[in-house]
Amino acid sequence: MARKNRNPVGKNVDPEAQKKKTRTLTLKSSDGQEFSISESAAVLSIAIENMVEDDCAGGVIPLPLVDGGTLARVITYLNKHAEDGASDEEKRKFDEEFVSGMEMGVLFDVVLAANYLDIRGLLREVRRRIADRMKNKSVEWVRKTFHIESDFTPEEEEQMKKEFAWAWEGVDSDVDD
Amino acid sequence: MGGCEVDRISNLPPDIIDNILKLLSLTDAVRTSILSRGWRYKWLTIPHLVFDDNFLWKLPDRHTDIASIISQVLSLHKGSIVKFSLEIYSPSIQSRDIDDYLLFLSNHRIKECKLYYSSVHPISLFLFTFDHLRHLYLVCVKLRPLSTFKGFGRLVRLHLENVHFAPGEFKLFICKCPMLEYLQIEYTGYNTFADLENIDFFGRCVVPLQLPRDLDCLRILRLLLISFTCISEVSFALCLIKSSPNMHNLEVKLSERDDMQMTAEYLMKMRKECGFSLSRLDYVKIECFSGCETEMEFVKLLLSAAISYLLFTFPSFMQVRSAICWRRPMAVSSVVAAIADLVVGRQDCPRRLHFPLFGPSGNMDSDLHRLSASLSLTEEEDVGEVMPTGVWHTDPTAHGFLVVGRLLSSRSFHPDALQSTLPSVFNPVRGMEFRMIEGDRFLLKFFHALDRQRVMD
Repeated sequence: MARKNRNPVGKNVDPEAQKKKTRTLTLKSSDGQEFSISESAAVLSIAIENMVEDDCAGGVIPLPLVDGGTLARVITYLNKHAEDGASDEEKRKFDEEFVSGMEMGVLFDVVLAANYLDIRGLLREVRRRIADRMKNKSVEWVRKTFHIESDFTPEEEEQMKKEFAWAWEGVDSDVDD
Repeated sequence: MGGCEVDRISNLPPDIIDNILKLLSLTDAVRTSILSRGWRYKWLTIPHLVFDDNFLWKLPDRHTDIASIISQVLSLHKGSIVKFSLEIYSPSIQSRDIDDYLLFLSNHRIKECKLYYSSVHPISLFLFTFDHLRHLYLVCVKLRPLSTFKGFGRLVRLHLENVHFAPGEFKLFICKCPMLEYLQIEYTGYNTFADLENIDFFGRCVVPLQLPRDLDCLRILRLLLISFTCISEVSFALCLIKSSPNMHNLEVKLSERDDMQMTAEYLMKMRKECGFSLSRLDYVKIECFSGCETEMEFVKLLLSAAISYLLFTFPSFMQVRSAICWRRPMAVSSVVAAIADLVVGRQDCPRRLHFPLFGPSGNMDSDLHRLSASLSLTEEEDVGEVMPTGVWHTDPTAHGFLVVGRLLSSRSFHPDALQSTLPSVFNPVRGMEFRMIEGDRFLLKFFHALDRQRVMD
């Protein structure tokens, strides 16, 4: 049933798109590191696209809410997704490996950066990864994994468990995966 | 970089948390309420409420009153609900309960609604006030819209399974869904069909009526379990096809078959007289194709379009056995010959044709050559899916149920394409394995003697 268009690249010789590929922008992280990136990759971030369009970019785009390590990761993602000839399947595989290798702390850095920069695809991937860590897990497991401290008294907790008595069973055993 | 011991999830922006919760099952989401005070009410604003098998299986055995669980969730819910999906059959959920949910939901801008009733029941009229609906999926209901029903102006996907209409009403209903892009109808009541049929003075069927208004946006039509024994079902299908000028994909799954001369004649007449202009039709899949005259007539009619992808599957061995009234499918070789007759020599014959062509019988090879000669694969076409066809040699000494096949076509082919195509062609009950051996030969291993037998037949 592979009836995809067979000539995804090469046919559209849009001069504007070509220009974007060759033009580079510089992104500056909160800790002062500078990264250069092709415009075509950078504008996959809606926030950066808006800045470029409003021409308030100048030479360097400061991103005061993203640190260097996180920005480097985000740029790896953007470059892959702007790559010519990368198939959807390839990108999907890349996305999966990209987020599955991340530690919890990094996941949160990246989700905040993706949210701030408005990179929908990345945001979706990281959210999914976080949700996967909560799926079918016991309350205790989730608390431990995400370092959430309960401020309920045992009595309150008991009361709530009664209220939704149908929701507490059928979870995985509390082993790390 | 993120410290390891800090609770970061609780301080994420609310829309990120909402979106994370949306990915969880309802049960998982409810459990977050007990994580800490900050999480107490977060799950209450999830806009998607899905009660599916996944939800059902996780319920403890003693909680059989699912209806009241759903009511509890709805009554606590805050904010907007855009999706409500009730995909379970449970004796505890009465039609009356579903009516109550619909009453509650009519206050929301529901975009996606899925409802399974356990017995055919007239659906609550509140459903017809859901004018933000984009997806509607109904199982086992009677649809009786009032005459004042304004229509689902935004509906793009409609799935009706065992859904019944009063005579004449299907037509009116469907025409009030002008944005419909995807329509799937599976086993619907006789009245729905009869509704479109036009009976002449002598009780014979005449031209299928076109719908009062074309379904201009419809691109995908799937008619499952439609019987070509019954003229009313055929004319129903034709009417929908004729009224969908922009249809791109058509999938038909045939059910019980008794070749009816009358139906075949009717289809022939339609083809000759009714000017089907299927200009956009590109992909056609016919499942459970037996090659009987009625079905061949149907294919002829469809071939008035320049279809580029035509796929057939045969009823699997189990399907044939389980349906008492089914004729044994026609010998494959005669189907091939018949299809070859239809296709060969046409300017616009399908560029890809898929159907199970197996068995070392008779003069099939020459038909195949006729066929493959007529298929004008163009340059940019990838070379994969040419017709798999084979001469089979069984090795009785081998373990398992092995079949060695050779690709007869002289065109190059892609092993992966073949590997993915073959299982759908054979429909083995117990599964199969595929391995290329040398050159154009490949090895198939079946896990049940009957599967192999069927393939050899």
